[in-house]
Amino acid sequence: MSCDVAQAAAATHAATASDPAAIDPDAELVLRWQEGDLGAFEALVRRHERRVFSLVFRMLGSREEAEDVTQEAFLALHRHGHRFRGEARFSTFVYRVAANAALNRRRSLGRRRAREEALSYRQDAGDDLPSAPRDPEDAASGGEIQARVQAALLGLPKDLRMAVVLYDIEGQSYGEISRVLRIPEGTVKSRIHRARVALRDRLRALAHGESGGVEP
Amino acid sequence: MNHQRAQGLLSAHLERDLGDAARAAVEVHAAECAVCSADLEELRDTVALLRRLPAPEPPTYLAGRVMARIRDGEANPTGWREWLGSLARPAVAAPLAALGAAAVVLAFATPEGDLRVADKPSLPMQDLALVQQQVGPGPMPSGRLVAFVVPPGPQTVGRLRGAGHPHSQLFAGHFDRPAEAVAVSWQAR
Repeated sequence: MSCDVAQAAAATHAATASDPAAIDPDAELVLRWQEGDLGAFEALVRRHERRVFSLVFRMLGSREEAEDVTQEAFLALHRHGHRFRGEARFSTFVYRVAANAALNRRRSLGRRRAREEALSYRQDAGDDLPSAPRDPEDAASGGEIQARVQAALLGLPKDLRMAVVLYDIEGQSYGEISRVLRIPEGTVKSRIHRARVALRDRLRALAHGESGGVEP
Repeated sequence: MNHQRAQGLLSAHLERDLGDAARAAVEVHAAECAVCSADLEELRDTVALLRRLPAPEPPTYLAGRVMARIRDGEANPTGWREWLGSLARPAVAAPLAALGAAAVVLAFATPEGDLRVADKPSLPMQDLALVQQQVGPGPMPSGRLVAFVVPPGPQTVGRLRGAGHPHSQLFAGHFDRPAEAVAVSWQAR
């Protein structure tokens, strides 16, 4: 992970040199942390833990895995914090570290646990899933639908999954995702579109009782 | 606009990310194409489902646990613990001795003690892989041990196998190239 973090720092710098750090709401805490104030780092952890945990959870599909990876991401962040020099928003750097941590998680373990949790989720919901509802209000109201969406997410290739999670769930902009993933904005848009189409197809398949599978 | 082109622009249309001409062309096509019209609505529903997923709450103890691990030294920038820990690999099935390399049990020294290298007093600790034939429960006892000195870096180690221990971690492993044996002493505090 250390190498990923170092690359993240360098790439964040290069990609966002025009993004003034002066507007970064984390700048003061980051400065105090880099001067050795552990309390400042704890404040940064508490400020960003929800978003990191959410991103990792949506990528891995398991609370247990997400907790482990979130902790590891923050440890890596602290270990290599001196590499962050404030040229980019700190939140961009955090997202990149978290994304790398999630993508690098051992696939076999994550896939097995994700399957187990998805199965458990479906069983808890009675595994009596109605056909895909047309009304989003109805769709989002049930835990079984959320489980189905999560299962469909896990069926996406990881690069598509990351793009659509960052955009549609985490609410990041194309530009921010481009900086986090170090890919052009056009690629970001393309991945989001492909992910949505694949999700739509998988949701159809899941509604008809077909296995969604879990991609590495 | 043909069907294939329209299909590729449906997400961008949802995001109002098209110019006026392209947006109008997609709308004209969708008005005449039942497939594109249905696909557009289903994509809209899919996006709505994604955006209404509840944010999972992290465990309340997460930040505290991160800070405890940092205070315990797990995030030290260049410590020997990080170096050795970074070399840990999944289980190794093959008998280590059969690999023709130094099959050893490495003991991670606990912080509560001093490591002395008898004939190389200036050797940095991070360059050491401390070898012990057996480490039982409880603190590692004082005494003389044998260590293999290997340069730091993942290229020097083939595989390692780790197991937790309250006071030290045991690693069985082998090295890709011969390691230098030196005598060291461990003084528990």
